[in-house]
Amino acid sequence: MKALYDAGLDWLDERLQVRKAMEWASHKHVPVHQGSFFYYAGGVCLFIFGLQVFTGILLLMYYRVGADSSYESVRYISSKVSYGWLIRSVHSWAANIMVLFLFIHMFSVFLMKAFRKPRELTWMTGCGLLGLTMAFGFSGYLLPWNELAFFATKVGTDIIGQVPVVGHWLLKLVRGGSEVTGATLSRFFGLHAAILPALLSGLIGVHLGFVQIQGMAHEKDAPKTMPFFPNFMLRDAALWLLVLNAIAVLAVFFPWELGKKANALASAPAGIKPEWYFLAQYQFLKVLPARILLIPGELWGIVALNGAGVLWLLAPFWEAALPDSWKEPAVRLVGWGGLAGLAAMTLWGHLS
Amino acid sequence: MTILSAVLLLLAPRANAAPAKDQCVICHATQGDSHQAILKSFSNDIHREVGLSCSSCHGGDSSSDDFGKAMSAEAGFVGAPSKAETPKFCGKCHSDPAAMKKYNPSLPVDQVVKYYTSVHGRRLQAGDSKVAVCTNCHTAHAIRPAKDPSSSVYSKNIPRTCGQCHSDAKLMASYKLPADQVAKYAGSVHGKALLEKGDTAAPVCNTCHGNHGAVPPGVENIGHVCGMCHAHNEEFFQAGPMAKAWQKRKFHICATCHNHHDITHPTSDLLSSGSGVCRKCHLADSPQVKAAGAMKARLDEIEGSYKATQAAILAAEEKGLDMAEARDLWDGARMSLFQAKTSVHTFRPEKVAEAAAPGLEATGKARKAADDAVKDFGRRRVELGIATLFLTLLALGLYLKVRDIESEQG
Amino acid sequence: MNRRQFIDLIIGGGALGCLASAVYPVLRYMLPPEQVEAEPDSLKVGAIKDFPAGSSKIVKFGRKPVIVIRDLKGGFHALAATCTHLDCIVQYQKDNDIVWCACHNGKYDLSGKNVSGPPPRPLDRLEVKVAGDDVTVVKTA
Repeated sequence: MKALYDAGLDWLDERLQVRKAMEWASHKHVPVHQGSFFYYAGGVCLFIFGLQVFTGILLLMYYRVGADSSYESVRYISSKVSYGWLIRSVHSWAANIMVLFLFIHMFSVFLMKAFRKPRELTWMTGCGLLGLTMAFGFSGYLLPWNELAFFATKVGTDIIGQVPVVGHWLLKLVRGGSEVTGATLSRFFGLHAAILPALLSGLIGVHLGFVQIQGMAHEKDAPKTMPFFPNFMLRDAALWLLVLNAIAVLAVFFPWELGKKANALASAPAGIKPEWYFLAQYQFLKVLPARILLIPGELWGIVALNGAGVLWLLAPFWEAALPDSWKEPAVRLVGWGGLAGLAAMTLWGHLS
Repeated sequence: MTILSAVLLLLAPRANAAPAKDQCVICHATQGDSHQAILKSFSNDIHREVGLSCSSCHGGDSSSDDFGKAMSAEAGFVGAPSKAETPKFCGKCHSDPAAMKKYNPSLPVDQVVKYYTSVHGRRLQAGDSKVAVCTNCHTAHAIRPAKDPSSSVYSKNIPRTCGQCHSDAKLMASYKLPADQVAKYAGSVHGKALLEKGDTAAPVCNTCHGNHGAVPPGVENIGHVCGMCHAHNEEFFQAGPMAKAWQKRKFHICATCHNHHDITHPTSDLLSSGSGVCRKCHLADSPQVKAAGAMKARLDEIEGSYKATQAAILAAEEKGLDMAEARDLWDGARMSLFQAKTSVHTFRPEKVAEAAAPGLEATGKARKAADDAVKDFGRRRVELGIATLFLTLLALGLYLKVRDIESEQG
Repeated sequence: MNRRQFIDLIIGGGALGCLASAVYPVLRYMLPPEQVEAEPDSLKVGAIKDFPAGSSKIVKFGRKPVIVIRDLKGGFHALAATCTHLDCIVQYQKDNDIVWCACHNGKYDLSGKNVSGPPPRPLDRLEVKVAGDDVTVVKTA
């Protein structure tokens, strides 16, 4: 057995220098400290992305995009196809859990100040990954073509129309027309099943490449470290299994509902809201006054949200420019403040 | 002044018509509120819409600003008609095919003739001036076609329009008539369909009583009147064993069991051997009442099955299960339930059973599908349990492995 | 069996079990169910000989019932069979060459237009295509 394993390894080594890679990997270490738990969040995101690709491909076997067929085919998947309910519910639940872990990963990285030089680019690619994942969520939400999805997309894309000068043009670009129709559905499907997977895979590769090149932050100043292989990897795998199990439990006990088919002529159901990860921004835009200094409140809101996004993206640069004594409190204030603000707005949006 | 100009503006002829100066309007707009109210309501009147004006009905010379001249008998002025004169007043055009051809060739011209056949018309001729004439139902100056929702004779507004007099207890008492018909109607299956569900196809006062020739349908005709919509019910009844006895006793064919203005949604209780309508004539232990009991049992069975199936489907849907097909089957059973109820009018239990059979089969299937889905939902948990066991086992194994490795590493 | 072998056994067994619990539903998922399509665009409803002149047949088109009629002159018609009044299933009356709803005596002509009684709207039309011997109902665009 051992001889066979060595022979296989030799064969690969002669062609792909795997022993060199293994040698390199054995030097990879993960710092051990109080916040080590948060190091697993990124891995969970990677695992769920894999799960999403897998279940997504399975869904593609029966899903037929189109205003006449999307809803019908999703209904077919969840009622007629064996375990179709499972695949669909896992895909929907996993999407939400993935966004949750992305937030955990991002805020923990921020509060540990792991974005500091030389990891500015890793931080920025991470922000890009969050943006792409949210685009995944937004585009995927429409695909069952049900009432909730239809109106959530209508409301969500309406905001794009508020952008000055090019808003109208952008809205048409996103919707494939001036209204949410079958054309929007086709666009969102292309985005969700082709463009975004390609972009996200590529960007994940870049993000992980950067982490490998730079190693973990605090590797040097941590009191203790553990080898990535096999210690961290095995713990990672065990956590993935637990996450998978949690998703399966959610899928079985709370199967994702389909609701009524989208109907552009029906009146919007009461209390229509976007997915929870858009709720904070949505609530923020909603509570702004109609006009501030003669300019529409929503416009201020869009500018403010984009400003906050840019500030967040450029955190490694402004933090470095601050006087030393300010750095720690500034990160704490922005990190915890941002988290509390998002949580409060989300809760407000949920309750109102 | 602004009111005046607004009124003038409203009354201004349509853009393409020559701007005629209607002296009636100019002068009456300066009179009291009651004059202005007439001008205002007439601005939306169908007659005004087709180009008619005050003088078209009231006569006189609308081009003269001398009111003595304009409203003189020489100019053909007839003024406002008395109640007794009203049918003839409207009939000047509405009974004249040549006149009606100009405006609405498809409109009948027999309203006045029909009116004089109605109870209202006959009493008017006998000198009773309290009865309804054209204007009581159609209004005098805000007349709209019956299909216009703002019309006083639009189906949804008819109960209110008839009720102006027929719900007036004092007025009705002088004719020894009840005044509760509109209230009864509003609570009936038809009234609820029209007034609550907005089904404008539901029958309203004039559907059964006629419009211009309004009379109670009478014993002989009521079956046909109800049969306009409830065709099978009438057909089955007329061909059945009960029709002759009904005729002999001069029973209203439908109303004897179903009432007339307060026709409620019929339940199987009508067939109850204790308090059912059959007991009005038949004895408790007669074969007829036994047959009624058998029909009631069959109706209760399909209705019960229909409701139980709905509950089963809802229970499955609450678990997030898709019950579209069971719902279709269940929906299909409604037709059978309907037909079973209709078949009661054959008074033959086997006919009811025959009509109910496909429905019972469909509800049975739908219920099985719903129950199976719920069972399947239970199976999901068992399978999840098995998968959880393996996932936990593997996670535990990996954890123990890491601990072993770490204790070796020291 | 020592501790290490025991742990390896747990890992091996667990891994096999996990694999099976993932592969089984996925394989079952990939096998297409009997009803192959969710919402058909067309449906073969029979051969011409199944439709003598003056006959009709109610078929299920996707989730909705459709009435296929061959009129007395031999022409085919297909209409949604759900009455627009209170959702009863309509029927073809050969004698009058009309579509009739027994519930409240609603009548439609063969093009689906509501002609008398309570129905508020016409019945939706579908196309009938006859190719060779086959009669097919097609959703109108």
